[in-house]
Amino acid sequence: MSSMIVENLKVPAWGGLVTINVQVKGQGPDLIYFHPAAGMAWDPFLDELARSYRVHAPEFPGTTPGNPYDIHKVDCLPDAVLIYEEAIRALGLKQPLAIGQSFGGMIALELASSYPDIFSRLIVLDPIGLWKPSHPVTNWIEAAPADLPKILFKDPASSAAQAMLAVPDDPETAVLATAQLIWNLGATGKFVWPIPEKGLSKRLHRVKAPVLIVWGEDDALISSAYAADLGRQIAGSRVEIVKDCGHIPQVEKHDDTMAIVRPFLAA
Amino acid sequence: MIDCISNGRLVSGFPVGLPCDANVNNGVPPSETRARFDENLELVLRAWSERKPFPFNGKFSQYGSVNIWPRPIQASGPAVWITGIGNPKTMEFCLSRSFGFNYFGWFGWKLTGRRIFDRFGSIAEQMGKKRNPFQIGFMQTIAVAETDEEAERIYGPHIEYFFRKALGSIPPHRLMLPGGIDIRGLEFVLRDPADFGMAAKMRTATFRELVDAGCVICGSPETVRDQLVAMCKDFGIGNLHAMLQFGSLPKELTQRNIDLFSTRVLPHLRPIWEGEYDHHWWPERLGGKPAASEEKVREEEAAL
Repeated sequence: MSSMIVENLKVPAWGGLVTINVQVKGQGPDLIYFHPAAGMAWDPFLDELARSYRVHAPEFPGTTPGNPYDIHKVDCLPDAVLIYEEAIRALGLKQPLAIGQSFGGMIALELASSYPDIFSRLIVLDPIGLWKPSHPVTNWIEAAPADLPKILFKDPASSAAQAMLAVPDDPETAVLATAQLIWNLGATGKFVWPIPEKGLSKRLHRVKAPVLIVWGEDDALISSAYAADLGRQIAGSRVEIVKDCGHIPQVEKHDDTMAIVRPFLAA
Repeated sequence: MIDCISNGRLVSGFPVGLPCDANVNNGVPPSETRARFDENLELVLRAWSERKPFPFNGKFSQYGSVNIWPRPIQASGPAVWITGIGNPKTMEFCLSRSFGFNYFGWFGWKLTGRRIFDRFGSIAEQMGKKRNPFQIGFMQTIAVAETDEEAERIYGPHIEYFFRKALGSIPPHRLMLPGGIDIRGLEFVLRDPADFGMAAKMRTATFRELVDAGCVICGSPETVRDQLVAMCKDFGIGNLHAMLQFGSLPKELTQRNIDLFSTRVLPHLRPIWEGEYDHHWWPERLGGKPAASEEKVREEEAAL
């Protein structure tokens, strides 16, 4: 049981200017998870992975509750990539498995491009980072809160979506959670505003790790039309489309996504 | 240049602006807006005061040689005013740097004024700063006619047009893009959104609601005068930015509004703080007390 408790490791980075909080849970081979723009949250997908892997989830600078202003120490995307690389080294992780979702998918791809040996295998779930004029990426940062459910989910009424969108009952807890969520979107948004394309395409040829690209077929934030493009740009990668699914396949179609992810991680 | 053309009459306001300006139209990440504002303000103030060209190595902009010409005429630079919406940090910033604090009454002074100016007062007290009404500016939409009935009839439709089509048409989430408001400020406004007064209702607000909230002060010269005098005295306001044109108000009505305001209302406002305080945030040529430099104000405070 003790392995299913979340440990919080405080990892100093950026010459001591930034402290990365890394949530760690589970037992098994090392796996690093890069959270989406809204911040780190444990969901059934990560809990299930933690039964077979030791999951390390670094929190993006500025998104850790109680430490909001670290974001002001990170000026540009290359800074963020260096900071993550420092944190991974400080954690002593040697070529861990890696999974990145959405914004975290872009971060994972940036790391895999900058440091081709950093991950043994990489899964990206509906990652951002590319731009097709024919399919502009929805600007989730300036979206009205009421529109977010339908940007994120094919079926916002589904129980999985509702569980993720739930607001705490206690008013003060809800205030703190909402403020943190908005702040997190601003902190991660600093590196993708106003267009979430910062040259990743130029760097993808450097990726060496085997990459699995998973995409919700009906993703309304970044169209699944991007999946094949990304696949073409990463040699030896594989693309899997999850049917009847929006931007967060591991939540909206948990079982289907797990069935794709598990064998790839175990290979 | 404007200070030279006007022979030392420039008063300079530095608003951060709406997210539509920097973020949506110009692509600046919302979380950088404030830091860029701070950096650029320092650059402008330094450019006004340095006597020789200097290199500026900012985080957001780099200039090998800053050398403005012509220089401002006012010895210690034009007075600096910062616009705030109620964030305590902005108030602290104005007080600590001896800048003017400017507040906009669009959200309805009857709903927000007490909160905002009491907050300013208590922050000044905490910081040990002497409160001076001339350090406070207030922007108020004003409409004056011969009688209250006439004012409602001739200005009413233009007032509704302005509030519904301008501020009221900006959705709340566009006014506070993620990253643009400090997390403590977010917690504050989520707990208690009252600083935004009429904002949420503005898109469909009626003339009566706008008047009741104080978004506009509208009526006969006596009605307008009484409200403005009470407001300025009550909140300790020493500078009124009278907004006498709004929305679809045509030229002739605007001129009439200006005439009635300046002849029948303004004379009652001018003497309110006269002789009680020195105006450090106003050009000397217009009757201000030497646009005191920050150092000078600090010296005065130390002497008190």
